[in-house]
Amino acid sequence: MTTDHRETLVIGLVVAALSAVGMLWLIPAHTNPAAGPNDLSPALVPEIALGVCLALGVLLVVQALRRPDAGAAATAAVGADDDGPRGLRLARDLAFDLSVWAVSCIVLVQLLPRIGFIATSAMVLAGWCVFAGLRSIPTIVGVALVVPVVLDRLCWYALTVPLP
Amino acid sequence: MILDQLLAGFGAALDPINMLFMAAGVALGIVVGILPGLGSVTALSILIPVTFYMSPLVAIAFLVGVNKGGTSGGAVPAILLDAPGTPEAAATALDGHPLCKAGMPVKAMKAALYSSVFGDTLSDILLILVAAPFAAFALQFGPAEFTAIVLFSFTLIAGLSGRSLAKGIIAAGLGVFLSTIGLDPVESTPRMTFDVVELYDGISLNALAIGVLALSSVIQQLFEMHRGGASARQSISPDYDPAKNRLTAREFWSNWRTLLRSAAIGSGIGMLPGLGVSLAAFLGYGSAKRASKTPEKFGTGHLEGIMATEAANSAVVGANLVPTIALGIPGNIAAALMIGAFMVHGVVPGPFMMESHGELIYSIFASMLIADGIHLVIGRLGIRIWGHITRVPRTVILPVVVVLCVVGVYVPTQSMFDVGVMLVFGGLGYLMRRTGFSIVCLVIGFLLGPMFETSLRQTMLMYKSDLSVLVSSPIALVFVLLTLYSLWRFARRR
Repeated sequence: MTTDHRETLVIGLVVAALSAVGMLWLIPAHTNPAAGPNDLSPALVPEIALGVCLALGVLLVVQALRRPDAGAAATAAVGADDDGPRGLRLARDLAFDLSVWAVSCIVLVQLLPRIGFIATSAMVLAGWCVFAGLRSIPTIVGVALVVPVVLDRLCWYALTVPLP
Repeated sequence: MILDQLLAGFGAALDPINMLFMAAGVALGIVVGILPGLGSVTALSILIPVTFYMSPLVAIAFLVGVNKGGTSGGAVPAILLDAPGTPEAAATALDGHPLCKAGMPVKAMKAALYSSVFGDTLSDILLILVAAPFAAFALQFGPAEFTAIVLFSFTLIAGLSGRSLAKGIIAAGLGVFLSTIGLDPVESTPRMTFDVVELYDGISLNALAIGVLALSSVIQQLFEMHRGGASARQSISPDYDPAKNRLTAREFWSNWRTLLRSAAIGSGIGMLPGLGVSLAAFLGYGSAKRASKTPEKFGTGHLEGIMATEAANSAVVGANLVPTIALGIPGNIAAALMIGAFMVHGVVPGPFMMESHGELIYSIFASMLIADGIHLVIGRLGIRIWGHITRVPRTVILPVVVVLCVVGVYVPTQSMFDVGVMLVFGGLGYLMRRTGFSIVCLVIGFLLGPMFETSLRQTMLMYKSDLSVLVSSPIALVFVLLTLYSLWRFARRR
């Protein structure tokens, strides 16, 4: 099975599983029935939306399971190795990226109401600048100090909105 | 008759103070539109109180300028950073950003500005000439007709889903599902809110759109740079060459059909209450792609894609004042705020507005046309300034955009909950980008979901569950046939 098919299979399974959870538990447990005889149930549109997702998720799974041989044959024909490591790298990258993002979001949401916009933004800016590869200390310090203060003052004087 | 009144209107509108405030409004609108999350709606709601002490003409002309500038300003971050400042600029990013990466950011911004002014001017002319009769026609659109329009709009997904139609439809389905969270639109009972009060109003469009469209793109670029995909000094448009950034009149006008079509779509959508600027932008883009002989070029940095989107979304600005002025019914939130501004200054919008305040109305019409010219000049000057952004290293500009997104979502509602929602959707958008799902389809689903549900359920209630009205109403039938035609054409192409 090639990476593309493995990827499609995993995506299809995840979409189908999440849609099924939504249809079997989330919508019935958190939606009221229709009030009038001529009205549609409030659950109808969310059910249709997730039903479509479920059907297409299953379709992706079927597609991935039906074509792996053709994909493998094509790979063998051009003499390439199984591109498994690329798929593994994608999964590893995604797990790393989303973990970093989740941590930075938690830090931001927790710090913003506690230490305020200017200090939090300065930290966020400096952190992302360094993460992206910027190594010039004066530039990092300059951006981290100037941008939050300018934005904070701009919001207050121009829009009369106090930032946290 | 109209010409005489319009000429008299120009006499009043050409007052230097009025012109100055219009210019200030356009400039302010562009700047606010550029900041992610802060579109013309936010700018209008904040600036209406500022107009209390102005004369009615100066106040309305100033706010019209803000609205015009705010609608086109969103294109700048969409082109430069793939981070649309407003949802309606999302389709601009599809072709604008690839053009920027190819070293032609200024050309893309010029195309966006000129087509924006073109669409806007055309819809203003339409407003002046046919406000009353078109408004009466718009009244014939009931729930059944809206259902048919929204059904037709769903066919856009086929053209915007990218490489995988299945993933495009899944993304749209997820968008529709997310739009149903909150109070049910007909019975006002909570749906999937988990007793979180902030969710009763539903997921904020601003937070979702900025998260999945702008923030996710920025996150992706930051992670790519972390992995060494670009040097720390690399600018937004590394291959920038001034010679490649000229947009000739021939190049621009060779797309006149697309410009006219998009302006007509934007004007039509603008006149119908409740459909909104974003839908016009996506419909304009989708129609241009469908009509093109080279649809495969769309999404790769094709000027026609930028022009189609910008002409359509800006054409809504003038047209949404048609039902506002003629009937007192706001076409969208910006128009509702304009009604508030009219009332603050003692003018009650509605059928008698032309009779009671004819002189003022024609002065406003004249101001709108003058504001289009001012928009062109200020926008053109602005491009020189925004052009300098392309030289700033990406390692500096992208982290700043993350903070701008936080500010942009916080300012309109001052809600930390919305900031959290935006951050979550930033992560979801990034995951979708990496796994090949269309972000634009998600946003389209989210936009169309509530319109579809509300109009469908109203139709069911009004016609006692008899959906044959979709083919018995001539207007609805036209859109149903257009839907079938689009599906047939798509199937044939596949």
